[in-house]
Amino acid sequence: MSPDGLLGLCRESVARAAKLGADQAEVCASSVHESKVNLESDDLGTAQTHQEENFGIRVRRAGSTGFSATNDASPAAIDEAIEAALALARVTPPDPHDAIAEPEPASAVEGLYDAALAELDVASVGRLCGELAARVRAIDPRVRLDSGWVSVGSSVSALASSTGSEVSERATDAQALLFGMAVDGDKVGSFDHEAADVCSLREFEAELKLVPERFVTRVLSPLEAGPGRTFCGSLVLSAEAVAEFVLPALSDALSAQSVRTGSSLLAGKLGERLFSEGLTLVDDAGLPGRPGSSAFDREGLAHQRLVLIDAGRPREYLYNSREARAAERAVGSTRHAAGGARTPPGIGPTNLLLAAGELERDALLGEVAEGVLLQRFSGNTDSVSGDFSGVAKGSFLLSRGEPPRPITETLLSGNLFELLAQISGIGRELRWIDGSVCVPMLRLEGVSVTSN
Amino acid sequence: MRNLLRDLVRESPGYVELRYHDRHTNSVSVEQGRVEGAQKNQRRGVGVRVLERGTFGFGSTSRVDAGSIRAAIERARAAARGASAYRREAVPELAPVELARGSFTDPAFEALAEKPLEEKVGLALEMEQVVRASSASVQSGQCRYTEIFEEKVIATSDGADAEIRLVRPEFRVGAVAERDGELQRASESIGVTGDWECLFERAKPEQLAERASRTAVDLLGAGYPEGGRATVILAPALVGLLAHEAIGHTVEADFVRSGSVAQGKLGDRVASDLVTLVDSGVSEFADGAGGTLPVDDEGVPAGRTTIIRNGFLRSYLHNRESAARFGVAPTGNARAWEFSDQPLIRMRNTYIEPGEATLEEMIAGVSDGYLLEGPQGGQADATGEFMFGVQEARRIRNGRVAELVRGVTISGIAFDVLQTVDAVSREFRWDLGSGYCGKFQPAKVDAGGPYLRCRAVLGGRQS
Repeated sequence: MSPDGLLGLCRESVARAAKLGADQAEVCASSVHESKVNLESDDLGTAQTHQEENFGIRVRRAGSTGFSATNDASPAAIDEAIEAALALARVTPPDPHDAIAEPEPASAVEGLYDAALAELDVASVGRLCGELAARVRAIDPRVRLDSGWVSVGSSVSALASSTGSEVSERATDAQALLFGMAVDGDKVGSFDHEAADVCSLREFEAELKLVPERFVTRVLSPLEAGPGRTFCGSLVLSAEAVAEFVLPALSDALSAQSVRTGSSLLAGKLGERLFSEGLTLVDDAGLPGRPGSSAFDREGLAHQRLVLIDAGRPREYLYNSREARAAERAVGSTRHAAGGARTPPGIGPTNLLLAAGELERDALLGEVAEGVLLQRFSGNTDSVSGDFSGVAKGSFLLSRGEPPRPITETLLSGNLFELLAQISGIGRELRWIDGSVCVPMLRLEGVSVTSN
Repeated sequence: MRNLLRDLVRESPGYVELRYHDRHTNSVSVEQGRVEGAQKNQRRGVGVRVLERGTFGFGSTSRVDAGSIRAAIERARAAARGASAYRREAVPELAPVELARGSFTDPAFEALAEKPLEEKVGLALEMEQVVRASSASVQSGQCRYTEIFEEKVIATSDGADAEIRLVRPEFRVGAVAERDGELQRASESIGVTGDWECLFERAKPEQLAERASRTAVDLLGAGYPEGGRATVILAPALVGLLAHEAIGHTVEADFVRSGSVAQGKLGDRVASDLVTLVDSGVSEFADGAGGTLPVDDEGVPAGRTTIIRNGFLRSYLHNRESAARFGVAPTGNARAWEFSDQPLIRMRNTYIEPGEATLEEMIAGVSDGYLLEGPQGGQADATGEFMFGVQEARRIRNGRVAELVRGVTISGIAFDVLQTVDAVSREFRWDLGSGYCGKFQPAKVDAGGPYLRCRAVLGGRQS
């Protein structure tokens, strides 16, 4: 569906909501077309295509809010969804801070749509998937592809509201995922994954040549893993580990909702030096050609670049309009209403960028007296307290002067927020992970390591 | 809908599987006295799977008329043909099985649908207040009520013709406690396949709210364990997590084919003879297990599969394709989350059977160890290595339960840990019904069991 066509349906649905009794209404819609070929047990699996429209309808009535979503674009189904949202609003207490956002212009982000990618058919996706699997097999026959996929899709997002918002955007997305492990005789290694997520066919074809090598490197090393040691020492995080272990907890703690409800240790601490000076975190949805980029947020407001942590000092929380009103923030939302058509606006980051440091990888690892190089963390990090505990997967023991040694059955424990105040090194190289996170390696001090 | 799908599979050559799926979810979440969200989410359509040129093709449509479904069948065929040239090995003919026919409707579906919306929203508002009122140290409360209504029709060209209706409500409360700048949180949750009465049969909502609040407060100031190998008594929720994450995933036949640690171990001793581990579509021992389903998404009746019997590995979990490859009968484990998802091999209700001991006897037999309750997520590996977070860990000293510790994770190699089981309680509980299993798409599952005593590694703080 075209952006104008989808926006037209949103506009009509807003008008229907007013007729059915809504004081205010917002309709957010998405239209998706996807071709995907799966990998299953070292072979191509199911080939699939998917096309769908979704509509999320948020209504305000007598100060209360209700939300309903449907994937049926027929007038009867839209009316049914509006009635369901109104019914929920009728049984929900009023909230003076909730409202439909006022309109504002948003500038398009370049490079989010690639016609060549949008035109790829499922047979071509099958060819790319088959070639991807063959590259993995050619590198090392011990590697087993348990699952994965190659998918390409195009999407249109649109939003219209009774306050006059009317925005739309189209994008393409190509993803590849490899998931598996290495098996050598009786030895079975830990599973791991490698992924690519880009917006253009040219970038995708380049990534599909790099992903197999990275995947094979990751899954082979655990085959030789041995026992670790028990100590308190350094923790060097790979870029992937930074993305999965550090950023989600920081994002939660920086959410204005966590701050308002007393669930964030960063509440009331803007401007205080809480973390090491090298830690600078920026949110930026306006980067060209990134899957995490977009012109507007879930309320239709124009995204803005935002410095969240500056040289170890939290500078700003993430707000949507509702939390901005609740906090009586004069300048309103930071334009971080998050979510898709099927959910009401929440709060969340877009592209997160952690600033690079000065150290090469060899220096980050070589200066460690006793520590662990963490590739993947299988555990829990409590974003409220910062406490974490879990298993170091695909990881290595570091001991000054010795080559990194792969380890198994090793548990890590500590407090993430305390460790982020003890950063002893930041990598020079930045890596994009999962299309929306760009981070360097980090070295932290004071982590508890327990080995079996 | 049943007649329409039956007619469409009859007119289509080759293997065709049609699945109409209407899922609607109602939920309300409350935090700090404010309704964070009250929403209804409806998603319906028909998923189409065909087997053509030795390849599965899958398509879907949210328009449920004959023309749109026929078009989806053609798209699925085109996808299969397009990808078949790049396959190494053809999908075998699917394993024969007596496929389900008839209507399978849980009366809880209508009962819960008729319960007024006001009562559900009111419960969430009231219980969030109970959380905050329980202690002056609690500075934040959360409560969420969700109900998932499922309506399905499954028709296949080789005879499945089933209509299914069931509902899965969930209730969750959480508390954040604060003292001297320190924050701790705790939560309690319950989920069933059944109605309102079934949801709160074991514990009233007030009890869950007060317990979440009390645990968060108790965790303030609690110490950390030192870490290392220890004797632990796992509560039913953690036993369920062990059965699901650490064993169940390794015996899913697709994962076995890829080389999981369970490959080639059928008939081997993998656990103490006190351990019998089962995955079932039926709610055994107690009503309302959250992963209960009468028929899987290939139309196979969802029965009971004994994975480990008295310590010996007896079976993997199969769909019709893997059953054909392994030369066994399908076990009814093919499940899809929504109409646009292809069926994958997934668990249902996974548990360890109860034994003969009492919890008191098991605690009395521990001179130095831990009683572990309240799972905080878990993961397992191809190697069988698992990791579970634990909300409440209490020391056991000289046969008595002692102080609470926090920040606890347990880990081990599943088959090794199961070999160390030396006591299994009579008491049995389903306790993961509010959880979701993730395998590229979610699945509602449940897990549980008795209390179980074994040896595992605890993560802790080193000085």
